[in-house]
Amino acid sequence: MDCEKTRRLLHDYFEGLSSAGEKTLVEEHLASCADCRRFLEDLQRTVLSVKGLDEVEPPAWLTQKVMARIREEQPVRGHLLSRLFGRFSAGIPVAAAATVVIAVFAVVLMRSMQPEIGRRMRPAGEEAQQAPPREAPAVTGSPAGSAARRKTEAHGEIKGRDVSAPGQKDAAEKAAPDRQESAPEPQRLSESHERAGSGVAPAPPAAGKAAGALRQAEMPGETSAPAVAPRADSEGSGVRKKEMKAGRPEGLTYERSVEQRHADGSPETVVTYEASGGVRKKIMEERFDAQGNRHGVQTAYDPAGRPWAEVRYEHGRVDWIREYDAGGRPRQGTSGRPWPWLHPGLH
Amino acid sequence: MTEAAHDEDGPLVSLCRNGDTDAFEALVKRHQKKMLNIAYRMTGSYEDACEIVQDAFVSAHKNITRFEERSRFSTWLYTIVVNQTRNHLKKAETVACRREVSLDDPVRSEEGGVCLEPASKEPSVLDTLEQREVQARVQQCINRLDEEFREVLVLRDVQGFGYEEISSLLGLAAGTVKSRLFRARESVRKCLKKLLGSP
Repeated sequence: MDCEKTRRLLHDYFEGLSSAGEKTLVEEHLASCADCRRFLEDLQRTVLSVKGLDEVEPPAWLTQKVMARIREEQPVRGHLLSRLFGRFSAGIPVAAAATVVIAVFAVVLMRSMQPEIGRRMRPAGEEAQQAPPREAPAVTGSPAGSAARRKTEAHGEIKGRDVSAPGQKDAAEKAAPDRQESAPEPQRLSESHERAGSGVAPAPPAAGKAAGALRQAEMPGETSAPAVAPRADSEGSGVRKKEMKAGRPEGLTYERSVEQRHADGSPETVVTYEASGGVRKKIMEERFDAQGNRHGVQTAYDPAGRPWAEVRYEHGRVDWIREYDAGGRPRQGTSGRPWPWLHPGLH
Repeated sequence: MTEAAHDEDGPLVSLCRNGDTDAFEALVKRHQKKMLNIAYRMTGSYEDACEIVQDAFVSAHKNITRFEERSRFSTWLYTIVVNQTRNHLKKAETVACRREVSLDDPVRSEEGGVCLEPASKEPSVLDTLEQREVQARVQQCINRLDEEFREVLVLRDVQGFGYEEISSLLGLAAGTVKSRLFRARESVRKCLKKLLGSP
């Protein structure tokens, strides 16, 4: 073997990547060629010099500067209500405006539908309420009406949840034990991510949601996960079931039911069902603390009724994530599929 | 099982896709050092590297929904920083040749042209520790490499990436990575011999 060929093989040789045959050829040549031995020494010294370069440390301000740029470019990203009402709220704090609009619209809608609700639903011992069909005109001319209509168009039937949130005071039991106890080890978030959660005051109760949402958007230390907890109602009694007409040609309907409540009546466990052709499937289970923050395991179900995503929150902050593949086995990584409780428009 | 399936960044990436900026901050903290070092060794300028890393993270955040998890998230991030560095170098043109002239002898580039050496950043050579001087010379030699050779050398010999990951990062065949690396090492070897008397 000549020197040129040997020198090409020397790169792999000194990195220990040569095949057995190449290694023998190289060593045979080196034994008889002083030039190539010197070349090998030079090569080793060169690579060691390059490898020996010190690592530089990032400046302390680098993370802050990156995050400042990101927050500057997307000041309200991640907040569902803010995104929905972004255009409407020019000059007004976005989340506060959105909450006010929803509250006004909910009151108007509740009052306009009360007689029918009373006639149809009370005998069943449950309260249920139909959301208006997608095409139904909202309060024409008012900002609340136009904003609500925009929301209706953007998110279809699920908007009924915000319009007619449950909220009866009853002595419901506390949450059932979390399923994660018997499940495989989930992917817990790193300490660096979790740290922001500790010591952060929980979001304000439903009545103060506007201020809470605003604070959430402004404070970099707090979670930006959108809180979409159902709000407490001012009237009604018993376990409340909501039914939302999809208004879709396929006849899909979505029903969101508060299955457990805190002692103060605020929703604790809320289950969303999808119904079509007389078949009802659970698609999502959400859990909240008394302040309306996500708390406990949120679960998304596939069409076969198996969970495909479970995310545990600790008072609004994500604690761990577990996702499953099509066979129901825990994934090593995550699918990248958006969790439905953060994207109601997906239903 | 794919590499993405073992991706330790997966949970944080999922959160980012759902709009959680705190999760992205955690990713920035996790990867900024490696990204800074890649950019620094490719540009030879700490300040420029900081700018490049910022741009890379902002770009990653904007495009995180496009990340398809075919590779690890870190590989995707490093690809972005390499591309940002390439863009930066293109703008700056021949970085190694545009700086102030030092008293050292000029060294001929591979193509035969004369590159003016960058002046030492140290206040005084006499005050500089020998090791730091050697490192500065090594960096000079890296700076003189053409971009395509420099990035391979930085990724392999400075950052210690495997050939497969470099192929994926740069979109090159493994054979091309190897041959570029050989040429890069050979150029650095010659350069160091000239500057220091031996590599």
